[in-house]
Amino acid sequence: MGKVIAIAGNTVREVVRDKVFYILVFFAVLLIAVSKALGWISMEQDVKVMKDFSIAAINLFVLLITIFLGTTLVYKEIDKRTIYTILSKDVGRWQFVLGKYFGLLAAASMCMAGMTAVFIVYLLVMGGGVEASLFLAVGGMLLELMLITSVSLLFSGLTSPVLSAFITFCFFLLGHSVEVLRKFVEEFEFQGLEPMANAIYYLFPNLENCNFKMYVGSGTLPEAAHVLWAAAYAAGYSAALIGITLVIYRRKDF
Amino acid sequence: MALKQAVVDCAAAAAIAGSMLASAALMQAQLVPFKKAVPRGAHYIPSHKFMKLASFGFDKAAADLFWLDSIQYFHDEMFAKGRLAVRAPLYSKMAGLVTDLDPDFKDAYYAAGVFLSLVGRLNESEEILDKARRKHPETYFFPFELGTLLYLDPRRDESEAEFEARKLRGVERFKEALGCKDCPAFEAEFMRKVLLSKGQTSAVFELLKRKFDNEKDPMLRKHWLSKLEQTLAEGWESGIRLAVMDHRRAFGGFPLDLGVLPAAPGLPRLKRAGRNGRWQAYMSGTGGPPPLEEFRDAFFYDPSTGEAASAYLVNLSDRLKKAAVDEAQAVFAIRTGRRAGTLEELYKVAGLRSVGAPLLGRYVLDSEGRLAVAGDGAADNGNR
Repeated sequence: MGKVIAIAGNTVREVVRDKVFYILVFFAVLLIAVSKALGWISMEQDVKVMKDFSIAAINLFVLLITIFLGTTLVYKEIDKRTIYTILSKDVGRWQFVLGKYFGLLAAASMCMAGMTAVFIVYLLVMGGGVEASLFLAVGGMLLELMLITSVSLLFSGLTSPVLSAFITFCFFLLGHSVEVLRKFVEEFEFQGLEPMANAIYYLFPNLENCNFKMYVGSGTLPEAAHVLWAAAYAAGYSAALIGITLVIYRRKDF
Repeated sequence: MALKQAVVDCAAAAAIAGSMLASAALMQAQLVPFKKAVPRGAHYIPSHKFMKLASFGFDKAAADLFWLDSIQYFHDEMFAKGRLAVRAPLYSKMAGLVTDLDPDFKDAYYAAGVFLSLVGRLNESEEILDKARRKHPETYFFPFELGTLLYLDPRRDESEAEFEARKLRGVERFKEALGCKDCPAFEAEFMRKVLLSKGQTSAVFELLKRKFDNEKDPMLRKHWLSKLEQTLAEGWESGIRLAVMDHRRAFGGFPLDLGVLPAAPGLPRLKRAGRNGRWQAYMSGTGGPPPLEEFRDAFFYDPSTGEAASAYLVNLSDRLKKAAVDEAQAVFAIRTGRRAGTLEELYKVAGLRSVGAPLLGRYVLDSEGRLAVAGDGAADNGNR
């Protein structure tokens, strides 16, 4: 476990040293700040618009950080041959994969926590109120992050960073669409497509399960069972993907 | 020498950069008129199903963007360019899209409902307000607005029966709104009056009782209790008037004494009591249903005209009028430096318009400038 933590710590340092990380954080904070300006032109809906755009900004930029940095993590290790140095020591491949996964997740979570703190302070300064659903939405994003990190890690060691980033981004888009796609097929009665839509629905990660952004400003909260099932789903799916990653990495000739 | 060369180089670089930026700014200025001339094309409103798919989990942010776009575009099209008839249907679609993406966006429902009714798109306004009240059954505003639209809107292109059916749907929406916890007192009073005028006394009583039972604030409990009393007194007063008219039809004249009226549901048991030369009747039986078991009322009755009036309601009306007169006296004092001696003065100087005209004749101002009933004074209210 100590080795996993050591690799995770090293991954966090590696991510934090990357300039892309700061550029993305800068743009996220900028978008949070600009959300107030959008609020001005929204007919007394400034706080709502601020909340919606800031949460969207946090979600989007943390996702980009995870994709851009996650997809290059293992690739860089292979490219620079530093992976041989690590694996030649008494470090198992599973420890390496888990260390990378938790390191990337920790870095992205810290970044998200920082952005959320900035957003909350900004919201309070601008006269908005903080509600429990805001934290729930951020919690949902963290679950989504768990899934996306495992996807990015899976492809990081398989293909080039560009292709890997592209595939991970497609997973994100598909993850948010599987539910609607299935409804489409049902509603328009595309008979032949139903099995395929069902297969996509159950096989691909359904990121809408972790989407609690809709509750922000609604004055309601989801049931505890809903949140727990979503957390279990994200954890289970991520574990499955990490398992696949481990199998692939075991067969790889590093 | 080297420093001089460096300064020259810097100056040259600054001059080149400055001139390039200046020329870029000039070119930008040249482009401005072209941009203004570029028309904004047809406003494309995607279907909500497509947008749900394309928003990738950012439904609320997408709804906000469409909302911002719609309020600017439609304001520009409708009010600046005057394309009211052409663009109004698009507004309804836009509102539908925004509220599909963010069903909790109450202001979008509200703005669309009000705006569409203002521009005469009543069916679409009804549709969006109906959608809002289904999504937010706890919010009084949507059924209230919908009820107002259905009940108060003049007859459209519809038959008499359809018009009446619409009004009845409006009454149902008022009942719904009155039952909401957040319904403010002013709107509640308006709806109470409408429902009473439609003979919905028991429904109003039940809704007010629910409000009273669920209210924790003592001041508001008192308010809802007084509204219950008022509703009960109005029901009794109306029942007595109807019974007096029935008596006239049956016997050819008004009864001399309200005590002779036969017992009927919703009608209090009354006994005659003469006072100050005016006929009055006091309740002899029990009060109203819970929580008004102890409530009693007395009734003025004039056997020559058959007019009956609840003492409680007369007192209530007097209290409101007295408060209005006191307020008008304060305004009068500021303007003239003295208190008004007559109601006519108050009416002219302090603008006592709301209750001014009906006051003249029946009321006078006493020596302190307060309102007093001319003649025999205000009525007593039973045992309360």
